[in-house]
Amino acid sequence: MENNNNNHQQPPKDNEQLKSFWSKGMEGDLNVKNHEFPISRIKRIMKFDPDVSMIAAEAPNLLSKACEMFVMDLTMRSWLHAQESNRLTIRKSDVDAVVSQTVIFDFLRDDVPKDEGEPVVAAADPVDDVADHVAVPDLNNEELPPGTVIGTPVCYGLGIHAPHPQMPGAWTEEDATGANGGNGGN
Amino acid sequence: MERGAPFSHYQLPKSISELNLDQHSNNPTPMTSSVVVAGAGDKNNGIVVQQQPPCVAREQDQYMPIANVIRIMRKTLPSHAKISDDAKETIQECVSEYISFVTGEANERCQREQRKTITAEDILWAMSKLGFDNYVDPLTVFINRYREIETDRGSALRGEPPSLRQTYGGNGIGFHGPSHGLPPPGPYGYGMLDQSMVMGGGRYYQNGSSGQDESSVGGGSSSSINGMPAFDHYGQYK
Repeated sequence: MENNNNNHQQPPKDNEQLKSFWSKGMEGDLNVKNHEFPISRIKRIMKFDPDVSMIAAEAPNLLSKACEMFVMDLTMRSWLHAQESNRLTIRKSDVDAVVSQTVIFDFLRDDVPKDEGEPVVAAADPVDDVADHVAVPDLNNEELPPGTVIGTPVCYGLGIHAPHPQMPGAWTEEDATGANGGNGGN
Repeated sequence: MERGAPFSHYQLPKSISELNLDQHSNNPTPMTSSVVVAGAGDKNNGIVVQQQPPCVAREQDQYMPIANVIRIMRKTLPSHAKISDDAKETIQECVSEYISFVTGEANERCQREQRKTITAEDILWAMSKLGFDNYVDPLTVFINRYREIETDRGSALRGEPPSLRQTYGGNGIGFHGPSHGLPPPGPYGYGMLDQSMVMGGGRYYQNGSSGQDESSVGGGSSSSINGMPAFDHYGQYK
């Protein structure tokens, strides 16, 4: 697609690698019993949406596999982008560039504020790489800005899609339904 | 190709609408279990407080474990590839965004059809609508295998007691009677048929399954980004 013709990208090679990637994904990673992601945490993230009332047993399992494919997809595209610059290390700027260039990842734009102004340009410039490293906030000290609005550029604005329940009863409910011992409570 | 700005701005009105719907349609269920997430907790979640920042423990719970993310990344990449720490963290956060994104879309379909439980079909439908066509085929195979295993054991993988199976029937989801030992589906269209059979004729999913089938074919013909054609197949839902 036109969005992939940036910075000397070779469409035939890219297309072949992606096709090979999907074939591999279909064949090798459909082990029903091998869940990479904990189901209880997927359920908790799903229920951050206050409109979500009930979740069938299969849905978190299906999402677990879907998330695995999502990580593989994002990783493979980021790797291709790093290779365009002859690098062997995937950087945050590679992930940001993939988010900017790929239409199905548009919902992640809020996490990539630097590229919002330039949705088509890939961030492959070394100066941009330095800026990325400097600008990355420390997550442990990060507070979600109050009143976050869709479309407003924020760093790691997870609050957009995940309003946080504040009632203690909610967490008790989670404890009762989930087997996640790592939940430290409020 | 049109960029995704409509997606970003499209989310807010839906959220408001869904919040209004939630106030009227949120009903608790009589039983709490790990198989079906009870709605009782949602009454507490109905009050949205966005001022207070999340504590560290809660923030950690918002993400998938980063070790799992890294493991999947590594098996995707050649052995000589390296990943910077900030790239790992960025993808970790993207996964949570993805779950919320797909869940929100699936839940919207549920509410439109006046159902309360998000099913696997809703998740698949949401992915197809949101442009993740490449994911639908393998996930359909996955969920069919998952159901076969579940049926063979006579209960859910998480040890569903018999009483909960009745709960399934009451909700109009899950299995209506045991699934026959169907062979693994070769063509994906067959997988869709299998899905319909498992759902007991699926009054609600027949059209959805057909739509997914068409979308899957479209997605399978190209590994490039193919979001727009998929949307046309679901014009009937708008």
